[in-house]
Amino acid sequence: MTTQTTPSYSVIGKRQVRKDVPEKATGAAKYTADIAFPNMLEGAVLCSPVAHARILNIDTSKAKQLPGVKAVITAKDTGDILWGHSPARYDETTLAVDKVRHVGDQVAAVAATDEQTAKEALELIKVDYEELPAIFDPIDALAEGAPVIHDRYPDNITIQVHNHFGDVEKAFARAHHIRTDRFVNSKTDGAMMEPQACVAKPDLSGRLTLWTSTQVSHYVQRTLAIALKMPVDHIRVIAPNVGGGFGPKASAHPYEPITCFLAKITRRPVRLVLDREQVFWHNRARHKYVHEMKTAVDREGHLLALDHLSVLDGGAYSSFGVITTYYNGSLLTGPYRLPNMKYDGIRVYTNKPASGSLRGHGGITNRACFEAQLDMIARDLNMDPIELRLKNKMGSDEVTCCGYYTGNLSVGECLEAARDKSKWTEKKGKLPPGKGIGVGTGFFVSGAGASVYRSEVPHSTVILHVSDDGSQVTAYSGSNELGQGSNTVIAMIAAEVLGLTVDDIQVISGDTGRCPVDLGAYSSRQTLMTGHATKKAAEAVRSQILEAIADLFQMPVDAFTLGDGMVLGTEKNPEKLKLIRDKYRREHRAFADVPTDGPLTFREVNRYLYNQSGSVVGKGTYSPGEIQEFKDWKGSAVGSSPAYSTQTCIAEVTVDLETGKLTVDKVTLAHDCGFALNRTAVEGQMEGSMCHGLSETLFEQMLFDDKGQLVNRTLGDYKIATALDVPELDAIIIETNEPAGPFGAKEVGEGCIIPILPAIINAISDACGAVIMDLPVTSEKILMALKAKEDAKTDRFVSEIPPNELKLLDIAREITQKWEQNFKK
Amino acid sequence: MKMVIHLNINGKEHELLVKPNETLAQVLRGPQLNLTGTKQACELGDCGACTVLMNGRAVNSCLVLAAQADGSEIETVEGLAVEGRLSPIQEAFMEDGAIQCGFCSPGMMMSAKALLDKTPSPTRNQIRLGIAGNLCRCTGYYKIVNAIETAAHHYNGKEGKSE
Amino acid sequence: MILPRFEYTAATTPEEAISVIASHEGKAEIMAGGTDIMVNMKRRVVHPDLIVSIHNLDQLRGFDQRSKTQFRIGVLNTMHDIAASGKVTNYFPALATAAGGMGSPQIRNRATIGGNLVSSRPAADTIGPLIGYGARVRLQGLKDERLVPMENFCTGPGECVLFDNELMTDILLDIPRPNTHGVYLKFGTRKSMEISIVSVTMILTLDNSGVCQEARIVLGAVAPTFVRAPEVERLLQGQRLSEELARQAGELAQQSCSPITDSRASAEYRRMLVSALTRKSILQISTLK
Repeated sequence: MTTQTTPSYSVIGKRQVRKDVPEKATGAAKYTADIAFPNMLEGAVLCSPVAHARILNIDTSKAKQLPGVKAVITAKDTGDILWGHSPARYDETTLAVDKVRHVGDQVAAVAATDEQTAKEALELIKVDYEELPAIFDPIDALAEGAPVIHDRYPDNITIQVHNHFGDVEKAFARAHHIRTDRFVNSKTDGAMMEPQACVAKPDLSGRLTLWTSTQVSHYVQRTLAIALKMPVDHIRVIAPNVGGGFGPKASAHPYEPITCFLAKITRRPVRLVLDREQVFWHNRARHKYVHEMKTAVDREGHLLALDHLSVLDGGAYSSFGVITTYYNGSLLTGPYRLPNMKYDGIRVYTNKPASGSLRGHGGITNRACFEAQLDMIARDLNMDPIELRLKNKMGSDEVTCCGYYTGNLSVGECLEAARDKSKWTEKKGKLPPGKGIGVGTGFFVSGAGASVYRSEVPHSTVILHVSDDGSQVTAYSGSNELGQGSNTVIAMIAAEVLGLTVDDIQVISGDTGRCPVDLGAYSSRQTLMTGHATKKAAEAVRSQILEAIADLFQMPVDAFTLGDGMVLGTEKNPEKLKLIRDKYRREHRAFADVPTDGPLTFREVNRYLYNQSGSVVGKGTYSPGEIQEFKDWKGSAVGSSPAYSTQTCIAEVTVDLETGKLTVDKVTLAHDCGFALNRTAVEGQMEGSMCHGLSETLFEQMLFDDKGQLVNRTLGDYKIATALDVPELDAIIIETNEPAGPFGAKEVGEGCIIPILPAIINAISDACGAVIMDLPVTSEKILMALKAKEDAKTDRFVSEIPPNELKLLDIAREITQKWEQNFKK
Repeated sequence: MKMVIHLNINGKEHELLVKPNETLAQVLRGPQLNLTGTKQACELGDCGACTVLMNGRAVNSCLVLAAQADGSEIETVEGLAVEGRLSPIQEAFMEDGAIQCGFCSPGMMMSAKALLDKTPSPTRNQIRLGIAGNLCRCTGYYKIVNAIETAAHHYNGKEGKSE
Repeated sequence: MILPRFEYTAATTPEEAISVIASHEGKAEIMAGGTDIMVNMKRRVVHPDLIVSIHNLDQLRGFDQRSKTQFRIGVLNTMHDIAASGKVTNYFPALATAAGGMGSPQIRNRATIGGNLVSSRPAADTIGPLIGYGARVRLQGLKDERLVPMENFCTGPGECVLFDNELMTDILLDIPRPNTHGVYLKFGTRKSMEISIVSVTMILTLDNSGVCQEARIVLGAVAPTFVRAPEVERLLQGQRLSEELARQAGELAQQSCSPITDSRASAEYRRMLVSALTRKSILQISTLK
C-alpha cells in the first residue's frame, strides 16, 4: 500500500533479487569459517570457568609442549591496553590481565595445526584462580561493601543518566489521571546463526589482514590498532559473507585481537571460530531492564508527563552500555507528544557476560512498558487504545521534548492501516473469553546522529569507479552487508541514478583496505546514510558524463539524461553522434558488441571520458546535518537521528485458560520505511524483525546458576522461534516519503521488532485480563496471573515485578536523589 | 586410528580417510572435500544449519559420525544444481527473498528437498513441519515457506530439474 | 564443539556388539542413531574409549506382528519409522504420536526408539506410551537374555536396569484389545524441538457402550522417572467418560506426581499441567470413540 504518489523509477521501488543471493543459494558463498589458507593454524580460546577471580598464575608450559601447538598466549603477550566500545568507557583487554569478571571471560589462547590439538592444548593450561565474591544481581552490586568489578568504578556503576525536560512535578500536579507501572525483562542473546569467527593473516612486512564476521569493519579496524599498537592502515579488516549480526557483532570483540596476536606471533594464518557456547558467553545483546514509569494524562487523555526510572544489568563490561542507557530514556520522547519527561537510568556491572546492543537497541523494553501502560490508561479512561494513541501522536516536523526533530513521522498512518487491515473495530471488546487483540507502536532511529568515537568523519563515504571501457561500475563502500541487503541497495541507487541495471553495478564493501570509511551496520543507518552517499557519488559520475557530453555537443546539460544504459538526447544530433561513434568503432574494431545506432551508450560515453581525462570516479559523502533543536544536555546525541521510523503492530492471540498456553494467531504490522527501495527486502526485514520480537516476548531468557554459569547455553535450551511458532502475518509497507532519506527511504531493520512485544502483552490482557509485565511471557506466568486474578476477584490483574526488582528500584531512587542533591550544590 | 570410508556425495564416489571422532559435517567441510556450503551453527543438532540428505533423509550432519556414514549417499547444497542448472528450490529461494544472511539457507534447502522428494505438493503447514528443525533468525520463515511452495510447483522428482 | 578422541568399530552381529562392550568393562558405548550420545560426548558428559556402532544390525530393525496378539518393534527403528508405521499408528497411536512429535525431522530420521529408552530421561517421549501399552524390552547379555517390563526399566533420571554388557534388541507389546484408545499429550514452550515440561499418556479401553474397562495413565517429567496414576485409573474404571469425570480425574492426577521446580517450570505449575492434560486427554478420547 502506497500512501502517496511516487515518481516512477526504473530500478528502485521494485522487487530485486539481491546480489549476494546466488552465491548463497549454491553454497559457494564464503563465510569466515569457510576461509582456509595453506599453512593455516587453528586457534582456540580458554575461557574462565569462574565468575569473578584474580588470576594468580597461568602455567602454559605443558600446553606449549603438546605436538602441533605453535603458540600459547596470555596477557603477558597481549598486554594490558584497554579498549572497548565507547571511548569514555574502555574497560576490556584482549585477554584477562589480573582478573576474570564472568564465566566465559577470555584467559589464554592457543594456535595449533588442527582444531583438536588446539582444544586439547587448552585443557593443559593450568590457571590458578583466587575466587572472589561474585555479584549476579544489580542489587548486590550496589550494596554497601559490594565486591568491586572494575577498580575504576568502585560503585559498580557504568553510568548514571539523569535528564529532566520540562517539569514533571508541575504536570503531575494538574493531571487528571496518573498511573505508575513497572516492567522487567530477561537478559537475552543475539542467537544469530553464524558464530563469530576470525581468520588473521600476516604478510611479510608485518601488516595484517583480518577476515571477521562483523557488522562494523571500520570500528574493528580502529580497535585493533589500539589493541595491537599498530598503525590503523597496517590492519586490513574484511567482512566476508556474514551470517547475521543483530547487534552483538556491532563492536570489536576480544577474539579479533586474539586471532591477530596468534597470527603475528606464529607468522602464519590463524583461524579461530567460536563454539556456540562462547557466542553465549560473549553475548553483548539485550540488557535485563527494570522500569518504573509514572505517567500523567489530562481529562482527554493527552500525555502530560513521564517520570521514568530504570536500572540496567550490564554484565561484566560496558560494551554499548553507555549508549544503551541513554537510548533507554531518549527513545520514549517520540512518537507521542510528551511535553515533560524525567529520566533516571543507571547501568550496573555484574559478573555475567556483558550486555550490549541488540536489535531495537534501548527502545524495546521501555517501549513495551510504556505501550502496556498506555493501554491501561486507555482502559482507565474508557477509551479505545488506538484512539488514545492517535490523540497523542506527533506529526511531521515537530520537536520532541528533548530537542529531536521528528522529520516525517507517520504514526497515524501506521495505526490506521493496521487498525483497518486487522478489522480491529469489529474485534476489540467483542471476542470470546480466551481470545484477545492488542496494539503496540514503535519508534526508532534511522541511523545514530553521532559516530561512536568523537569525530567529524563523514559517516558514510562511497566511491563509484567506472571502468575504463565503461562496462562496469564498481561501488566501494565501507558499509557492511549482513544479509539485510545493503549492497543491493547501493547497487539499486547507483543504477537508478546512472540509468543502468543492478547487474551493471558491482559492490565492494566491508573491506577497510579497499573501501572508504563507513561506520557500518548498526542503528539502522545504512539505507539512509550509505544510501545518500551512494546517490551523491552516482550524481557526481552522472554530472561528469552529462557535462562532458553537453560540452561536446554544445548543448545545455539538461538536454541529456541517463537511462536504459544510454545517454538519451545524444540521438538528436546525428552528426556529433557519428563523430564519437566512428572514433569508438575504430578503437574497438574487433569487438563484438559495438553499437551501430541509437543514442550513445553508457559504455561509449565513459570510454570517451576516460580517453579525455582518465578514470571516471565519483565520490559521495554523508553526515547528518543539524538534527537537534538543542544539544546542551549530556548524551543528547544518543537518540538523535536524521529520521525516525514508526510502526504499529496488532496481535491477535488465544490463551488456553486452563494451561496458560499462549498462541499468537495473527499479526498485522504496518511500518513506514519512507520509500521501499527493494520491496522484497523491506518485507523480509519486517517479517524477520517481528518474528525476532515475538521470539523474545515468548521464549527468550538467559538463565544463570548461583555460580554465574549460563545454564541454557545451547540453541536447544535457549529457545528461539521455529517455523511452527510464527503467526499468520499481514505486513503493510507504508511509504510517506522521508525527505531526509535518499529517494525518501529510511530504516526497516529494527523498528519492527519493537511493537510486537506490547501488542502481545496487550492482547493477552484483552484475552483474559492478565497483564504480564515480565518477559518472557510464559504460560506459567499467564496461568499464575489468572489464578491471582481469580483469588483477588477482579477482572484485571497486573503482574507485579519480583520483590527483588522492587527493592532495586528503591535503591535506584536513592542513588538518583543523592545525585540530585550533589548536582544542586 | 584413521579409517577409510566410502561416500557417494552428490552423485560422485569418494574414498576418504577419516578419524573415528570426525563428524560427517567436519569431513564435508574439511580439506579432502572442501564442501563448505554445509554450515555449522551449533554443532549439537539444535539448529539444522548442517542438514544434508543421507540416503534420502534429512539429518544433522554434526551428529553423524563420518565412520557411521560409510557406504551412504550424501546430498549437500552443492549438489542441488544439476549440470550448472539451478534446482527449482534454489531458484525459488532466490526469487522469493527467502535468503537473507544465508547461513541457514543450505540446511533449509536440503530440508526442503527432503520434503519435496517425499511430498511433492505439500500444504503450507506440511512445509512448516518439514522445516521445523531449521532455525532462521533473519526471515521469520515467511518467505522460506513461500519459496518452498513456489518450488513445489516446478518440482519434478529427485532429478530436481525445472519443468 | 568437537568430540573427544575414541576408537570406532561397527558390529556385524548383536553377539559381537555385546562381546565387545563386555570386554571393555564400561569404557565402550553403543551407538545407534547417535543423536543422544554424540551430544553427550560433545558436552563431555561421557567419554568412551570405544564406540561400537550397531547401525548395520538389520535384525534389530523392523516391525512384525508375531501373532494375533504379539507385536515386535526393533530397537533400531527411528522415530520417523515409528510415526510412519501404519501398524503402530493403528495399534499404538499414543506411541506414534509421541515419536512423531519428538525433536525435529532431522533428529527423528536418526534417533532410534532403543536410544530413547536407554536415555531414560523423565521427558523421553516414547517411554510413557510404552509403559502405558505394557511393553517389555528384551535385553540380551553375553550368555542369556531377559525380558523387562518397561515399567521397571527406568530407575531414575538417566538411569536404567541395562547392564554394561547388555544390548537391548527388541520391544514386545501385546496388541491392545479392540476399542482401546491412546493419546499422548506433551506440553512444551515452542512447537518444535521441545523437551516436555510435562507429558501425559492416556490409554483407555472402552466397552461398546462407552464405559471404561481399563485405564492406563503414565505421567512424564513430573517425578524422577515415569509414574502411573493408579488413583485416576481406579476412578475411571467402570465409568462412562464425561466432562465431570474428566475434571475429577484431572484433580486426582496431581496426587500421583512429585514434580520439581527447575529452570523450565515450577513444581506448582507442573501439577496444574498434569491436571489440565489429564482432563484434556480424557476429553480427547471421548470425542474419538
